[in-house]
Amino acid sequence: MKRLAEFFQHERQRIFLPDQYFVQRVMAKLSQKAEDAGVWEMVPRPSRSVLALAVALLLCFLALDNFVPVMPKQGPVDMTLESEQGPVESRVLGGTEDDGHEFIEELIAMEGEQ
Amino acid sequence: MASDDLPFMAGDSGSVTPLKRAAYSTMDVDRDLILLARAGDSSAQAAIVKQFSPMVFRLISRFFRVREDVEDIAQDVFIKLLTRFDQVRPDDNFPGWLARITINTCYDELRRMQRRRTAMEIFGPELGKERSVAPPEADSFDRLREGLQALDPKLRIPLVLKEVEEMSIEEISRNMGLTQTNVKVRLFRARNKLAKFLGGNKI
Repeated sequence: MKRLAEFFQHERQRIFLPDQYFVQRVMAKLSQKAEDAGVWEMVPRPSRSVLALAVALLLCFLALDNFVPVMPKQGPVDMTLESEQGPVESRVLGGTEDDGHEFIEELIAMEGEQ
Repeated sequence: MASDDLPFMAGDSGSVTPLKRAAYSTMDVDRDLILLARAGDSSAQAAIVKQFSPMVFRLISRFFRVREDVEDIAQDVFIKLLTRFDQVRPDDNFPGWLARITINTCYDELRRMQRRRTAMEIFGPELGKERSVAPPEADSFDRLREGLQALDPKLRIPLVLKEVEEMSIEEISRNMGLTQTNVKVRLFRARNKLAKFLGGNKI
């Protein structure tokens, strides 16, 4: 028991202290670390999770936007034919079943203009 | 802050100097200095490193016997502190917070050393090489020292903080993030294991 108490007492005396250049070394290491750090290190730690979530959502949106195919409004044949159509043909082809007498009059007027 | 105001006096490099421990909650801390350091003022950060490095060295010396190891770990502690300064609240107990970072860093390093030792026992000396070896000390405590170093870090740290650093159970529990009962249990187990290692009775 006494021996152990002596040992702990001896251990209490054993202390290393920083030398006079310790502060400079720490500050140099810190600035080196800051130079090496990327964008992530510059973001305050508490906001990193929010930023990570935002970046993940943005990437998901971009991935969906780029990789999921969008149904085209018209095929290549329609696109070629459309460039060769005159206004009357466009009106006829773009018209609906319900177009009645007024529609025919409109077409006649357009023919007259041509 | 003038060096006369420092709670600990820094000495020569590598010197072995007895210093009276100040309770971490009663250490003098300049609130404005912490605010400046938090805002990124490098001279304030350097002043904080200068003020608290003896305290950090002192704590690390309790667990490591080679000066280079102590210095490396102290640097790690301050880098951690300065890169996480946004978490520091000026009104909180700053020295206590720093002591907690220091003890956690020591614990991590001791665990790493323990894993290296285990690797050495399993795979041979090449894989489990120690980072550094403490020079032999001219005293008669070799067996006790060996016994203490053989303890698991989770038992060794509370024992050293209690017996060598003379912390109270409450201080140890706060610094290690444990309940006071848990600290008492660990102290009991540490003493028993040390006694068993030394081949004697309960200490």
